[in-house]
Amino acid sequence: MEINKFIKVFDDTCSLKVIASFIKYLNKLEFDNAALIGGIVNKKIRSTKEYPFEPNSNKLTDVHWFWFWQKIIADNLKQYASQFKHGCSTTGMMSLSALKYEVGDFYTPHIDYFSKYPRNLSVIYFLNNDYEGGYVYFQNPFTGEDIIGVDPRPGRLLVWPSNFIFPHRVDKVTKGRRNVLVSWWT
Amino acid sequence: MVDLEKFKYNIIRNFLDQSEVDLLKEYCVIKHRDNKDSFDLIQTNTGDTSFYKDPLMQIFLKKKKNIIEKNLDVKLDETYTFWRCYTYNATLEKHTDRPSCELSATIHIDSDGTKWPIFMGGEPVELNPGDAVIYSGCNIEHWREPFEGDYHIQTFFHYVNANGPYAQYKGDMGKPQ
Repeated sequence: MEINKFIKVFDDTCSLKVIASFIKYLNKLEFDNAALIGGIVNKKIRSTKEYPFEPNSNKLTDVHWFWFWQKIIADNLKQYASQFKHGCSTTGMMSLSALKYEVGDFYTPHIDYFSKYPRNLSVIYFLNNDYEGGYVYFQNPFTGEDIIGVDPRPGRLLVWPSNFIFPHRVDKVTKGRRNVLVSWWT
Repeated sequence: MVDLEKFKYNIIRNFLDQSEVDLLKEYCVIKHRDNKDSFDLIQTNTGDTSFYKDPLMQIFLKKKKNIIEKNLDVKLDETYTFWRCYTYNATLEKHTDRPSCELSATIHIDSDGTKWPIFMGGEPVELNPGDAVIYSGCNIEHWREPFEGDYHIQTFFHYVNANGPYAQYKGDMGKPQ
């Protein structure tokens, strides 16, 4: 069994004009420091800014984007699940956040599943690629060696199981700004 | 009767009365908040919430026909309705409409208060909730610049001249949306 069979990308999942509008919206929003599980900010482990999208927001633009991206991700996760004989029991989106990695930002190796946050699938949605660094690397869970890097591309959706077999990291952004959406699914 | 070949647009203030505006505001906001799969990826750059032939709007399409018939002194047939909740940065490209939109009304339902004129052949038109612009959809170019606010809800009622060249488009049957 090869780990990379569980890490999938789906391309051209949304038109570039819609992605450009969304980035324009992100540029006017105020982002906060992204926290670790438990709400603690530790910039030595995770250095990035986050804007969570909520379905009950007072801003109808936020509500729109929450459900819009939920649909795009859900449609692709159906395809992801269909390759497994018994599916992957995905029931719903737990959260959706936009992340902004400026020059020098990164995220050290980690996994996404915690007993308090029993995530099943993890998603990164790439919104741009006009930056340098900021690569996502998946690691060998035994040795911590980087084994798979994923090229960013606007409209590319990356999905993998959130469990301990899939540690991953984001290396330092060296030029430009990396805009992505991240989402976890039960 | 208005000369339909030369007709561009008329503004009708309070096309919807206050109780109708209140009803449609609440209805559209609830539907927008609950909308998980009706997004317009063809005509908008923001994939905004849009509904074609929404049953409630179809009732208003019928109910309000006589106001437009009186204003233009022409007998109309209903074709279809469409409504949209525009969000930040939404833009309406300069365009004319298809035959089913020969005589149309764009009606303002609600917004966050941000001004957002529609340009009718180059002239900016500002609407308050309940106001409508009746226009010759196939002839007059209309557009909007990028929207700077949070939301703007607009509904469109489309008709054809019952005795005109597009009468066959009644009901918008079998036509692309």
